[in-house]
Amino acid sequence: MQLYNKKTTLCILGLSILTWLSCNPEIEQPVFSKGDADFSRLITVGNSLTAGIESNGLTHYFQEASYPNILAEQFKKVGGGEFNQPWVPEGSGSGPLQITAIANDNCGNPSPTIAAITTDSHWSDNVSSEGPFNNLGIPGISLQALDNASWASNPLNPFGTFLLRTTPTPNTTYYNYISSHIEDIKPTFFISWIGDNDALAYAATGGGYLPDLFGIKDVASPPLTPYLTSSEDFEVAYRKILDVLLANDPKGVLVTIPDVTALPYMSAVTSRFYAEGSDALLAQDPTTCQHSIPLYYKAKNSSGIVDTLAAMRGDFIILSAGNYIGSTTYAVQGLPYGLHPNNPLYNADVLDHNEVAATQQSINAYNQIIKNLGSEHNLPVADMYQELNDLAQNGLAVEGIEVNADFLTGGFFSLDGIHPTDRGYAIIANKLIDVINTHYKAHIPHADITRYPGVQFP
Amino acid sequence: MLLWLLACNTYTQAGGFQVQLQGQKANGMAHIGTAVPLGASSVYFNPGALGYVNGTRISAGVSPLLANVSVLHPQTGATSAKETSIGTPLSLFFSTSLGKSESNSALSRLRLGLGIYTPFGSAISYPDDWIGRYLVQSVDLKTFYIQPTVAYAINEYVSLGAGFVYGLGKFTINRAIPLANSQGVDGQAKLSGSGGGIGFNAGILIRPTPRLSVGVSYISAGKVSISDGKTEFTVPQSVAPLFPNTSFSSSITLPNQLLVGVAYYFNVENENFISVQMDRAGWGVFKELRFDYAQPVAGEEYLAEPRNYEANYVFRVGGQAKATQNLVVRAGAFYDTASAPDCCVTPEVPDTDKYGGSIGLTYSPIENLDIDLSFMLVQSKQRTTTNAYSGFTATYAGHAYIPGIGIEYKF
Repeated sequence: MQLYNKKTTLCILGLSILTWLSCNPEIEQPVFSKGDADFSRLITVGNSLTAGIESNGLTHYFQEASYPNILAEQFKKVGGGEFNQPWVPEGSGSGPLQITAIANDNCGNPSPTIAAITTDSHWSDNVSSEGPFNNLGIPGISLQALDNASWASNPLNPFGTFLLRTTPTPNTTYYNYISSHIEDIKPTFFISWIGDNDALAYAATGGGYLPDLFGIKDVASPPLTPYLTSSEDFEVAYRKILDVLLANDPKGVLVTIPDVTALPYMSAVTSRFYAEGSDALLAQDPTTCQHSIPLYYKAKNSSGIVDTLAAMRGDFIILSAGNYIGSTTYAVQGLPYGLHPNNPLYNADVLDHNEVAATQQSINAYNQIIKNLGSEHNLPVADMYQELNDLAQNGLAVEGIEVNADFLTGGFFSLDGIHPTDRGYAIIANKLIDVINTHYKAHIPHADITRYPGVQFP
Repeated sequence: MLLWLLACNTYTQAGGFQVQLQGQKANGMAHIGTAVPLGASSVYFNPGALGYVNGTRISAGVSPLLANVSVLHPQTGATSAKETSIGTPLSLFFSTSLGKSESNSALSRLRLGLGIYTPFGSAISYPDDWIGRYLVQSVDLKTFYIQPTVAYAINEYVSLGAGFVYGLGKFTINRAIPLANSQGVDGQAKLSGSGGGIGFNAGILIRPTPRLSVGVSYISAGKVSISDGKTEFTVPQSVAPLFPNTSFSSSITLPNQLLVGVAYYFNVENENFISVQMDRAGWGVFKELRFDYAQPVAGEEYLAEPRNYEANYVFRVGGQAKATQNLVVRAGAFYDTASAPDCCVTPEVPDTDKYGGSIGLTYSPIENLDIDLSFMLVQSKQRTTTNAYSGFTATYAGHAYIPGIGIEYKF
């Protein structure tokens, strides 16, 4: 009996010692705080980047990974409040793109098959009764359309549904949408990332041409077709938004417009045709795989006459045109699309160097206005223009993941070449947190990037 | 009890992934061993000292590592800890003198020895889904050095020794690949390989006075060449052609070691002494971790990650004293600098400055048998770095408890 007790005591002693020994070393936990800011009621104003669009679609899952939602989750750790979004039902939502297969073409270039998944028939059901919403991002909205009462209900506007489903009345302007929400919620903090579409709508349609609605892709006649918003109109509209946004003296962040020409939407297809030692864009010959075939496109030359020109470095071919280049059953039958002077690329498929210059000039002007408004109102400006250019030029290494702006493999951009992936939005959210931490002397924890995947492959 | 012993973490101490637990007598005094003939383990600590080791001896020892490492990711506040696994640095030494020591012939001053020991090792695994999983999930490195040795005591003042080292290394690394499939599940990569290399271990022991001895020994760098490494990639099916399970080659240079020690004896029987020792490991050879693939993986012909390690130094002080007829007690302390510079610390080798101490004893129940026991405590200094290559910022902290047991029998 004595021996047994001794043994038990020794055993218990040994176990306790070992338990104590296997305690992990203490590292002092960082103290997180909100600094001078107050995140009780957050409002985010913006377009599809703010709404959470990925791969040309909106799903419940994407909305969970929108940068406003990621920010709200991090703000909650320093006293932030609830964040309501206009949720689409769980499932396929508005039908984003998906990779169905990847094959290699004759010359060993990866050639993915990308198609939209079937839309959920209830994705556009009106959810205005579930408001008010903290996330006021509406895909497709621009400062140009701020006071346009027929924007939401216009059947020719592919984005109208996004506003139609979140407002009780169909002829609500985006301005009224924002104002009524600000009145309801009285935000203590806001993020404003608006103005992207004032340049992107023009750039994404190859310089302001009709999308292929009627089989016509060469018609350009403002105001029916997208055009670059003038700096004056941009500033007037932005000030109008700030006036209502700053009514109750919230803190917030303004965000600059990215260089849309740095997007894979512009560069992914174009870079296929870069040939060493040549300024001309040249397609690979299917048999020799040499870069030898020039590309032709329609554009207005210096005299304003529509002419067929050879594509050069500095001209960009948009992503969707990539599926058709070389096809002999597209545009002019019997001739390879884009590879023959008699079957040149449509105006809408190319953002030529003149159109690029006009776009970049506008973006630089918009960003200067945003920075001026920032200093005027003592609001920090998150320079996403600079961040995305850095990403495109240098890439980014984060938690052992290399991220860059390449299409498909870069991890940052989704399948539409314009909107980020979950991982891209998480990186954006962390950059915004850095800006807020600096300006408002806060210490908000970053989101864990590794929880957010990039492009998903079958 | 055994289960609890198994539920312990492993650790690597000293710079990089060097393990310094080669002799149980030495372990009891912070791994002091270069300036004094310890027994058969002098094969490792100083082949020169072997010249003064009498008789035929065989010794064996093992030091199970119980260690803990915590990692804090400061930006998100996430903390992780290494998972439990067990590593057992071990050593086996043999030495013999060829002639009778009484005869004072040249032959009697000659010694032969053999050592098998594990100078480098690492067995770390983190939870599979931790924040650093794209850097490492688990790594397992084992090395064995086999060292036949010859020593010659020129006279009572100087003894020289040298051994030929044959080294074997084997490793496996597991990490996640940030390529998700349609269920959002990451890819996986596993690299494994083994190889060998050769080197030497030479030393000299000088006894200018009966009370003082100075020892210097040098183990050459060991280049382990791996020619037929294996890769195993698990990725979404559509990108599988980009990740062939190709072979790879790699060459890892294990650093050279210079040990310099001075000992002062308190009595003429040379049983009670105090010694100071400095170890330098030439980690400057470890500039990058590089694997050259036979076929391109993800468009790359090779994977190279900078390490840019620097030489590391360990400063030791320790000693022993005879307590009773058959009991010797020991104690020691050490300070060990880190080899990895700020740019290049990685979670698979959380290299930091370390300090610690040990106690030990030798109990001789019968005249020719030594039972050596030791217990070492190692404390890592907390270190925060951002790895410039992977963009991974972490704060590392750790400690280790290393019991040891060994036996030496003299014929």
